[in-house]
Amino acid sequence: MLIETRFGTSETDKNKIISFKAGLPGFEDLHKFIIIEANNTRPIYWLQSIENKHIALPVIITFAVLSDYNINIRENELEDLKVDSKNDLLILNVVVIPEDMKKMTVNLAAPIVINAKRGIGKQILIDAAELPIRYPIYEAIMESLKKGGEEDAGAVTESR
Amino acid sequence: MLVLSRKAGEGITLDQDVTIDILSIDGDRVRIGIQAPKDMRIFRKELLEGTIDTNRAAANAPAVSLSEAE
Repeated sequence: MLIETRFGTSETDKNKIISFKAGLPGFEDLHKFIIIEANNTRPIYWLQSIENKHIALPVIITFAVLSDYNINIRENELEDLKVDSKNDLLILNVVVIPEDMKKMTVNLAAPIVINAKRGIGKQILIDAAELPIRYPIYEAIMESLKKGGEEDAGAVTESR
Repeated sequence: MLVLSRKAGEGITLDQDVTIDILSIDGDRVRIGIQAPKDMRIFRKELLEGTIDTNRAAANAPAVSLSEAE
């Protein structure tokens, strides 16, 4: 199917659509997104709304950039996402990119947890001292770019 | 909004499975104890507000080219 994105018209597979029952904080009325790649922005991907072409949130696959990022996803949250196997989980974190890119930050306290197999997602809020809302990420992104190829998707986390 | 006045040692219950106790009051700081089912996430309000802010700010990202950023 063809969808309108921030970057122009794009062809996507219907089963790549991710449903967010509750929307995202700040965008509670948007429920359907896809993950797209834009030219020259890797390792930043874009969580593009398919209901509003103007809304695309830059995200990173955090484990690929910050290898020690660790979060607890609860059993009931895995159930809500209908997760059969943790291998199906994709964890994204939202990046804020200001005009001065060196000041870009990532929200580590609010991972977007996605069941990639079934296309169900939720942004989970975790109140923990070691997970800042605005964590400077520019250096780590540049490092991961230098290392070249970035691993794709599939990030597993522990649940309690 | 429901507004209640409580003293230290008193509390509030929500739907019988969430209890909020006022443990102590010291100047402008209130210590609160919360008992809730394990599957309920409890977080400071700033976290939700901060996430709303960062999500909205993120959506305003300029078009970036990281390969030219160096």
